[in-house]
Amino acid sequence: MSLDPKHVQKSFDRISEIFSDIVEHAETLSLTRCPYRNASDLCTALFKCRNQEVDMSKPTVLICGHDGTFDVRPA
Amino acid sequence: MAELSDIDNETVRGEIEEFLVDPAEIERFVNLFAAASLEMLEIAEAVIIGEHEDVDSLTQQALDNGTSALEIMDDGLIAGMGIVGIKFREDFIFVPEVLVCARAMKAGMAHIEPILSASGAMTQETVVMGTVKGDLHDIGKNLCIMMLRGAGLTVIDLGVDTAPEDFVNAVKETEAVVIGMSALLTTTMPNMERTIEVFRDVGLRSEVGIMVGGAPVTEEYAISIGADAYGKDAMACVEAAKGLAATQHSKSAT
Repeated sequence: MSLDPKHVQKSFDRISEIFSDIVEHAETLSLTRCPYRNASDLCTALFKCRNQEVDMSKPTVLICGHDGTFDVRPA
Repeated sequence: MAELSDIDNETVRGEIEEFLVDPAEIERFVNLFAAASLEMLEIAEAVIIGEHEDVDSLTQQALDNGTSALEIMDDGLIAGMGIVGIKFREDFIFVPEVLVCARAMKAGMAHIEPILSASGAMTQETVVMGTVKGDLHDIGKNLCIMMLRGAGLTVIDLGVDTAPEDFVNAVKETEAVVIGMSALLTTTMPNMERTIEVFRDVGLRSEVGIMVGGAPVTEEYAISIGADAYGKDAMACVEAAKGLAATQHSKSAT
């Protein structure tokens, strides 16, 4: 099947545009919020971190206790 | 202009209603989704909620039903990811959720890319990516992978704590011409150099372009350990990978 290469390129350009905006916002956001902290404020990191706090009601769940006062880009 | 009620999918309608505020964006997405088929809306919905298994099966189903690869890409996968991008920009969701949605989109693209390649509309370059041995940080690497896949590159993700031999084996198995190594700790950075040494030891160093990145990594460090490129961020990583692939291909052509 032949596909229009220009159309394909346009679609990939749109993906790149969406992802570039995401990466740019992630960089800004990482100045105040750990990138491993999800929308439910849980820690998704595979490693131990001093900001991890155990939820006493669910001991297997790690909460992010980071207060956003330092640059967490290296996290 | 189409109306929100013209969109035949409750979840997609709800997402627009709840998370989009810019009138121009609302108009663009309402028009797009109102014109989309039920199948495409289901795919977009699965991308938005990050259900990679659903995206996988729905994409296959749509192709089996004769829907074109480009329609699935534009009206299902990209349209869904567009909503995800806006939710992230507006801080309704964060990086971990975005990566789940990107994985869902990738599950659909896995069906689309071979069709695009077979038609000659895109070339498939393979890049092997991993966080080096001893290092469990993966967000930066995952954002790079998202960008690389978004640019149409095939990525073999070796995950975290990747031994030098695993990079070598992946290159041997996939014939990738580019590898990318990430390190987020100064203590694990030397494992980038060790990996490069192992490629030299097994006689594969000239066969691959090697790029490195991560918060403590600098261009000077990349040069000092014999890497071919340094990716300052995820966008630079795409340019570096494309450049290295082109260099490797021109080397093998001569």
